[in-house]
This record gives sequence, C-alpha cells and structure tokens, in this order.
Amino acid sequence: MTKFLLGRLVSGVIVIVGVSIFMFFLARVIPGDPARLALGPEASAAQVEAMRQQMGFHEPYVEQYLRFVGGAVNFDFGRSLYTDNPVSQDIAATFPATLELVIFAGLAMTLIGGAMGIASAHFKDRWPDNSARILSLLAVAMPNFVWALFLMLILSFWLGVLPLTGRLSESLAAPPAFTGLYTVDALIAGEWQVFLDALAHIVLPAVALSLPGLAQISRLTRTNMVDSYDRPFVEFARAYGFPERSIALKWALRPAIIPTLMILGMQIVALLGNAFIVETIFHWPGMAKYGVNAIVRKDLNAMVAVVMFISVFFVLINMLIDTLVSFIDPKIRLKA
Amino acid sequence: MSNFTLTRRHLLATTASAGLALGLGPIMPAAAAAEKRTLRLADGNIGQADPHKPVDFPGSILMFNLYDFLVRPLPRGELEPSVAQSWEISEDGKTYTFTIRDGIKFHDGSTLTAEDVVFSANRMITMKRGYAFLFSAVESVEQEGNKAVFKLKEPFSPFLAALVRLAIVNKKLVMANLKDGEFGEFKDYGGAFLSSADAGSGPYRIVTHDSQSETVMEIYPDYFAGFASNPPEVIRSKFSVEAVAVRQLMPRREIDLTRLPLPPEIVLALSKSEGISIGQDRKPSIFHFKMNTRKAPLDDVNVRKAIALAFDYEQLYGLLQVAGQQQGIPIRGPIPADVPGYDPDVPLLKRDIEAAKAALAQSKYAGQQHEFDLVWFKGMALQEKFALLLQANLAELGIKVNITSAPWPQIVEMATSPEASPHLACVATSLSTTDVDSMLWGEYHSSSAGTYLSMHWLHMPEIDAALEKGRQITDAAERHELYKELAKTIADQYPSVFMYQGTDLVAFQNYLKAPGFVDPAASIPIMAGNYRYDKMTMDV
Amino acid sequence: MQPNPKWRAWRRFARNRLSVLGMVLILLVIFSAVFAPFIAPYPEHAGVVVNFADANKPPSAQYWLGTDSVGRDVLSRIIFGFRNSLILGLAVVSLAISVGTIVGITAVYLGGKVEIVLMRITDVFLAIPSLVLAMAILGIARPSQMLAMIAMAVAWWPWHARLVYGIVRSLKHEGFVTAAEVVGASRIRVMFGELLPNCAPNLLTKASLDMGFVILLGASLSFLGMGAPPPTPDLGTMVSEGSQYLPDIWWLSVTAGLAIFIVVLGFNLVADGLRDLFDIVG
Repeated sequence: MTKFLLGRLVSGVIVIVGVSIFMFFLARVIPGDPARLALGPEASAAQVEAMRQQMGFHEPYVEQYLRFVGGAVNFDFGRSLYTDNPVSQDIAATFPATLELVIFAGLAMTLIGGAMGIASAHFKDRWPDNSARILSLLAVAMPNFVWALFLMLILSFWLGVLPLTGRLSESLAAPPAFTGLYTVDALIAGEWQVFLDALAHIVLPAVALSLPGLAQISRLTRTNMVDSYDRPFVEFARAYGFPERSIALKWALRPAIIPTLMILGMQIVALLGNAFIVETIFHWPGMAKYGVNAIVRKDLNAMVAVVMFISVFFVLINMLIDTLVSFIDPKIRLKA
Repeated sequence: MSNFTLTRRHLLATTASAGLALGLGPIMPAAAAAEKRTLRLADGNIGQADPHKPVDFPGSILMFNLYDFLVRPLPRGELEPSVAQSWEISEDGKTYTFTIRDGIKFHDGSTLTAEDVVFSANRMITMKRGYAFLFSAVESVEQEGNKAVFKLKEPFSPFLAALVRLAIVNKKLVMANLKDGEFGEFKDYGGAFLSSADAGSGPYRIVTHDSQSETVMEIYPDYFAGFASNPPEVIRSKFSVEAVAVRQLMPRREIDLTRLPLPPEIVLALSKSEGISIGQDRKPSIFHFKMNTRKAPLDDVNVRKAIALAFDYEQLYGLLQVAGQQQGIPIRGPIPADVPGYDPDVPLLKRDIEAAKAALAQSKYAGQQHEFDLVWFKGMALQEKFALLLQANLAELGIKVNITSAPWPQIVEMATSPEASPHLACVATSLSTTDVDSMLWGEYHSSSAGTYLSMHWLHMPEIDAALEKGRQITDAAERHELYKELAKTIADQYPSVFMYQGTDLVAFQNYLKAPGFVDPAASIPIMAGNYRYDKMTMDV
Repeated sequence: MQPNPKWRAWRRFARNRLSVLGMVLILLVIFSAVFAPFIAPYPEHAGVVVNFADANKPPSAQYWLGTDSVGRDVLSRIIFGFRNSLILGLAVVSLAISVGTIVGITAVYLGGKVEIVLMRITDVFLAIPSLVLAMAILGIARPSQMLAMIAMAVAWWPWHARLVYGIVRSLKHEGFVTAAEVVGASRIRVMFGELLPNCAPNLLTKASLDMGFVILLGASLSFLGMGAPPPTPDLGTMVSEGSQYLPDIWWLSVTAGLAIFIVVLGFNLVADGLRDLFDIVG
C-alpha cells in the first residue's frame, strides 16, 4: 500500500515539475515585455530597464527557472502585474469562491449523474432511460456557455426567479470568513438570509458547470451497470430470488462504481477548466475568472501560478481517487 | 425566527420548490439596517487607491473623493483655490508660492500643513508613477512656514492646472506605515499602505478597499469645503462590473450610478426602464484611428489623407445617437471643443471617395496593394463598429484591413515602438488636467514618444517647438492663437482619422442628483471631474 | 439474398436511429458550409460590410434569424460560421491525431526510456485542462487563426497519444506483430503498417467525437475573445457578442448557440453509431 502510494506521489511530482517547466518556457518566450506591462504607459526606458534587471530577465534561463521553482515551493510566484498583490495572496483570496462552485457542481455532477445512470440502467430502454439519455446528450453537445446563457435568459431575465451574477446580492454583506465558502460560512454564522441568497446565486453557475461531467458520469454508470446486469452473478442472484432493488444496488451498481470513480478525477479537473468560462459569464469572483483576466492581460506571474495551482490540484485529486479505488478494489493496487 | 424555519423546510421539501424559494431571497428588500444614504457605483475597471499611481478613471474618482488638492477644477476648466488659499507666481514664471489654508484636518484628525504638501509633491516626483510626468518641470519643493514653494526649471504655464492631480497625503501617517522598498529613507514611500488605506483629507474616507472587487467609502463630515444637501453617506464602488450586469441590476435598484462604457444597446434598454435617467459625462476626449506614420505605406501623407477622406463620418455620427442622447459630437482636428486652440471655423472633414482615390493615386505607393492591421481596445464594444466601418470604407479603396482587438496592456506594449504599433490603432485621448498641453504634449511631442497617445509616431521639429513655446507663454489669447496654428499644422499631416469628440453616457437613478451629468454648465471637464460625490444629492 | 458487408455495417450503424439523425445533421451542416455562398440569404454579410441602419433587428421575414449589432444577417453568418467550425475542427483533429498516434505508437514500440519520457510528457499536458492550456498558449501572442489551431492541437494530442498507446500496448505481443518482426519487417513498417491499422476503428470513433469536442473548445475560446478576427463569422464570437446585450437582443446568442449545438450533437451521435458499428466498449 505504501509502495503504491509512494509510486503515485513520485509520478505526481514528475507531472508537476513537467508543468512548471512548460509554463516557465511559455511565460518566457512570450514576445512581449512584462516589465513595460508592469510599469504602464508613462514609464521611461530607463525605468523599464531597471525593472527588467529587478525581475531577472537578463539571467540565463536555467537560473531564472531555478529561481522560479525556489519561489514556487514557498508559494512565492511574484507579484501580479495587474493587481499589484503577491499572486499567492490573490489566489488565496479567489480560490474559495472557485472551490465552492466546484464542490457544488461536483456534487451535482456525481449525484445527479450517478442517479440518472442508475435509473437508466435499471429501466433500460424505458422512458427513464430514454429521457436520461436525451438529457445527457443535450448536456454533452451544448457548450457550457450556451447552457449558461440559456439558463440565465430563462430563469434570471425572463422568469426572474434566480439572480443573474455574482456570489451575493448587493444588499447583503459576506458572512464572516471562516472557510471562504459563503454558503458554509453563512450556516456557521447562522445567517439564514445570507445562506439562501448565496445558495440562490450558486445554483445557475453550478448547474451550468456540472452538465458535461454529469452527462459523462450518467453514460458511464449506465453502460457499466448494463454490463453487469448481463453478468452471471446477477442472474445467479435473480435465481436465488433476491429483490430487484438489492440486485441493482449490490451486484449491478458496485462493479460500475469503479470506472466512474476513475474518470471522476478527470471530470473534477475539467470542472476547473470549464470554470474559466462559467465564472466569466456569471461574474463569479473566483480563481478561474482571475486566471482568465491574467491570460487576457498577459499578467504572466498570475497566469503561471494559476495553471500550476490547477495541476497540483489535479495531481492531488487523482492521488486521492487512486487511493480510494485501491481500497475498493485491491486488484488495481496489485496491478500497479 | 419562525419565518426562517419555514423557508428552510420549504427548501428541503423538493428541489423544484427550493429553486423558487431561493429566488425570493435577492428580490426581497434587504433587512432594514440603519439606512444610510448609500450610493452604489458600477465601475468597469479596477481601482487603485494610491493617489500618486493611477492615470485611469477609477483611480481618479478615488483620488478626487479621498484626497484634497492645492487647486480643484471647476466647470469650463477654471481652477478654484482649495488647500491653497492663495498663490503668487514670480515675475520669471519659475517660482510658485502657495499659502496653505488653515484648519484643514486629515481623516485621522491631524492638521494638514505645508509640510504635507512638500512631502506629497516629492513622493509623486520621486516615485515617477501615474501623473508624475506633469511635474517634470519641478526643480524643488520647499516649506516656508505655512507656505509651500515650488521652484521650476523653466517657466511652465500648465503648472497650475497640473496641481489638480497632486493629491495631498498625510505625511505622518504615511511615514508611520513604511514597508521595505527602493526609496532609501522613505523605503516604499508608503506604497503598500496607500494601496489599501487612505491618508487624505477629502470629503470621503476608505472603510474597506479591494482594488479587484470593491471600495467602500464613508462620508467625512468635517470636510472643510462642505457638501451638497443630502450627500451620499456611504459609497460602494463595485469594480469589474460589466454592462450586461448593469442592464440587469440597475432596473432592480441595485446600482445607482455607472462608470463604464455602456454599449448603445444597453443604454437604450436602460433608458426605457422606469426611474433611470441617462446623462452625459462631458470631458474633452477624442476618438482616433491613429495612423502609424513610420510604417509603409502610411509614411506617405497622401495615403493617410486618402484614409481620412474615405472614412464615412455620416454613418459614424448616426451611431452616436442613442436613446435621444449624443454619445459624441463631430471634431475639427486634434483639439476638442471648448479647449484653448479649438477653432470652430475649421470645416468638418467629409467622406469623399473620389478625393480619397485621387490622394491615393498621388502617393508614391500608387497602384499597389495594401493590407493594414487595425487594433481596437477590447473594453469598448463600440470601437469594433468603428473598425468594421473603416474596414468597409477602405475596401472601396482596395485596401484590406485586418481587425484585432487587444486588451489595454497589450495596446500599451504595442505603443512602445513604431515596429510594434499597428498601422491603425483605435484609441481615445483626453486632457489629464484642464490645460490643453496635458493632451497635446503627450500625443505630439517627440520626448513623450512610446505611449498609446502617440501611436501615430508623428514627430516634427516645428510641432515640438510650438509645444515648447506653448508651455512658456502665459498670455491666454496668445496661447490660443499658438495652439490654433499648431492644430492646423498637425491636421495637415493627417496623423489620425479624427472621428469625434466623445461623451460618455452615464446611467443613474432618478433619485440621484449629479449636476455635472445633467447640466453642461455644471460639468467639470476633466476625467472623473463629475464623479465628485460631495456635489451629489440623494433623495431617497 | 447476399448479405453485403457494407449493407450489414450500415445496419449496425443505423440500429440506433439517433446515429442516423446525427449523420443527417452533419451532412446538412457540411452541405451548407460547402454551398454557403448559394444558400445564405445575404452572403455578403459574412464579409466586409456594415449595415448600421438595420442593426439589432429581431427575426423577421426579411432576416429570418434577425441581425446583429452591425446590421448583418445572423442566418447568413451562421451558415458561413459552419464553414469555419468545420475547417477548425478538421485541422485540429487531424493534427492532434497525427501527433498523438506517432507519440503513442513510438512509445510502445521503442519502449524503455523513450516510452517513459513520452508518456510522462503526455501526462504533463493532461494535467492542465485543455481550455486553460489553449488559452495560455493563445494568450502569449496576438491571436490568429493559425495559432488558435496549433494551440488547440497542443491541448488535444495527449488524449490521442493515450488512446493509441493503450491499444497498441495490448496488441504488441499479438501474433501478427511478432510474425512481421520475424519476417524482418522494419520497425517503421511494423509500427505504421501493422499496428496503426488496428487502431483505426478506435481512432475514427474518437475523431468523430473529437470533432464535436474541438468545435466546442474552439467556440469556448472565441467566446472568451480569442476567436477568428472580424469580420469572419465565428459562432462562439456571435454567442459572446449576443451575451453582452441580453435579454433585449436574445436572438443572436440563442441562434448561434443552437448552431454550435447542432454541429456538436451531430458528431456525438455519429460517434455513438461508429461505436456500435465497431463494437467499441466504453
């Protein structure tokens, strides 16, 4: 077990180092002038040159890279050229909003997608199956941002039942920060109105964000469950007269969980990626929107840090899931 | 209490009804807090609080409301004494002596003195950020009792007007909050501190400030110059707000005032909303297609002339009519209306495709195929329409135009060299102070090349000479004539397609009275001049 | 009755009626893309034209899907937009497949250190969401159509590398590979003559699915302002433009959004059909 985990850890570290080299390369080959960007339109050539010296752009690439890594392991990614704050501070400030969104979307994706898949398999080729399949087709083929806009148009603009953008209504103040997740913090503080308002604000972006993953999970669960329904052990159980319900949950579902779990890591990272779009549309003040701004404004330090952060997140999630899977199914552990 | 449990049970009942229950949340009026008159501003950008760093609109709004200045701008570009009770200018025009008004208190209760003025001027000049370039003529600043004495290297007639950008900071407070930095004994000159707090004596003070998301300010009742009746008591400026959100939130009374370019479509929709008015923020600014005179074939004045003549001004003017409001007026060259040097007798340029073709035929590039890069600033959707219009117009001359939009930092970067500057750049320029020099110097003097203002790269000795002379003449009439002449010299070079003089359309709730947006006679014609909250009235 | 193998294949493909629908959708889209200048009511509106007098008109008999804020016919621009989407999709998918296949096969066949290095590199690219990766690359320079395609291909090839790697690895020790090696076939010959054809069904299915995903990715990039330069009609850009003016000018986002949906749906359904046809699991 330890060996298995250690192996995962090593390959995780290798991936992160790889990402850091790639991002460093990308950020340094940029045909622009970060120093000029940092100083603004009125700065003189001498000031720009001084800034270049200060940022170390004259050193050999290897040295620059090592310095970058040295900083990165201490969470020091330099200052954002745009906000003028240390990038790690900006990320710490914006990440909770993204995390909250990803948690809600992740839950919706897993629970609703899983339930849809189970219903589909259980009622194969009957109406729950057909409607679930059509829904997941819609979810997969309609771009995230189109979903977001449609939901916005109908539920916010036309029906007016859900708020349009942001995390909280203008009239309310954020709950005392504890986790940074407004819904959780509001519950802790016992501020019901804030809780409901924050919840109302997260519904649309979370739903829009969850849809593609939801469809994948629903499809995968269905396929694998249908598969296991065809297996001998299910027939065996049927012959023994076990109730359909327990057959579904015990014998058909269980083997289907592992493949689903295995794609969950990818899906969660996809959520982070899609958050770049969804946060932009809903003006969700999270790390993904910060990342979009960083890229659009060529705020290199911020861009590099956000991408690094996401890849670390990816590695951690995957390690977590691998561990989980290896607990459920020791065969996988042995194979590795 | 029972209310809440009910909602909660409702919420848990089914997902469908939960959605409905949630929906009620934001629509219900906020719980009755101690209601202060709160003005919520929607700004499209982010706002820096340090008054000596930004040159942009949100930074200017913060600067004007949090800080005080030796002089403040008035309608028609005149100046009023503010922290400076009076001043004297020496015979040679090189020494300015300001007498500091007694009894002005900073927000922390300490008294504003000449020492603070000296400190502020030095801070700005040393840090070389923001509007520091307006003070490049200053040789030294010294305190003499209750007087602050500015010594200039040479006579500099726009100096007084430049002082509307010199925010006075509280020296003691700043010095008590220094962090490590590059300025010797002044360490970081309080840069870290002033980026999130204020050290001012202006009509408002910072409660919380996050340059990314929001600034909350509250009224400073002891402000020496007083307030309009029922001024807003709390200001919440939301940053990075987009027009589509304004469209949604404003009819719901969640925004009181806007400060971002609103596309005509949104203005139209808002104007139809009950309780919302549209006003004009008149600050002398010009929209250009700057033509890069160092890039072939635009290095030939005939080609530039052809482009200026091919542009369809009439179609453009049509675009500026929005919801019964003017988003701009025609322009007659490089100087905006009502600014010294403006000549109302210069005829407006009209589209004349035959003349354009003739000019093109006269150029040394006659008969060649041309392809131009055109870059517009992403923050303003309207500019894309201008770009598409020019693209269509130039297609008639057989010129192909490739349009790209760029975010602001990228434009700034392109502007640093003639090679990096595109053939055509859609940008707006405006006065930074009330003096015409603050616009033209940056655009046309060769010493200030390399900024977005001068993406035309037109630099000529006679223009330089005229601009330098303009800084030394103090006689208003003489200056007017000089700049009039200069405007003609510049216009003849066709460095820009001078499109129009812009007017920002502003949306505000009817219960908010902001004189500058309604009454042209009350409009303070510099960037953010009309966003003085102390001059506004809220009748809620 | 002679069971023609082609006919049998079609029957398998068409067993799911949705696959046929997908096929019809794609054919329609391809047809309108190819014949856009003849089908579009205002073909000139896809090019350099401004028509401010007719700006922001809702759908009507004159403009079936309304006009945009420049006064151009939305329907015409959607039809030409299909063109762009298909070209983008084809270019990116073929680029990604080529690179991915070469990497995948080389990794398995050369094995050893090469395998480890290649697959680690693949992992690195998989650790960054495609959209973010493509954005980061596009963010470094002035966006152009060419750069957009390259950026998307860079973000997309690892998926193919993984797929091919998986299949080829399971084939490596099959009899026909060993046989070819015994006869003395060159490495290149074995890799591309023997192994590659065996990946074809999977690759084809994946390619169809990917056309959908890549078009979607491209639309996402354009939505974030990294699309084709104006006046090129670009579906993602149209949705983005319309989204600025919601809810008053709803038709722009809605119709362009549905257009993207139709293309992506078509390729997804066809991929399902191909999956049935080749009997691919998962």
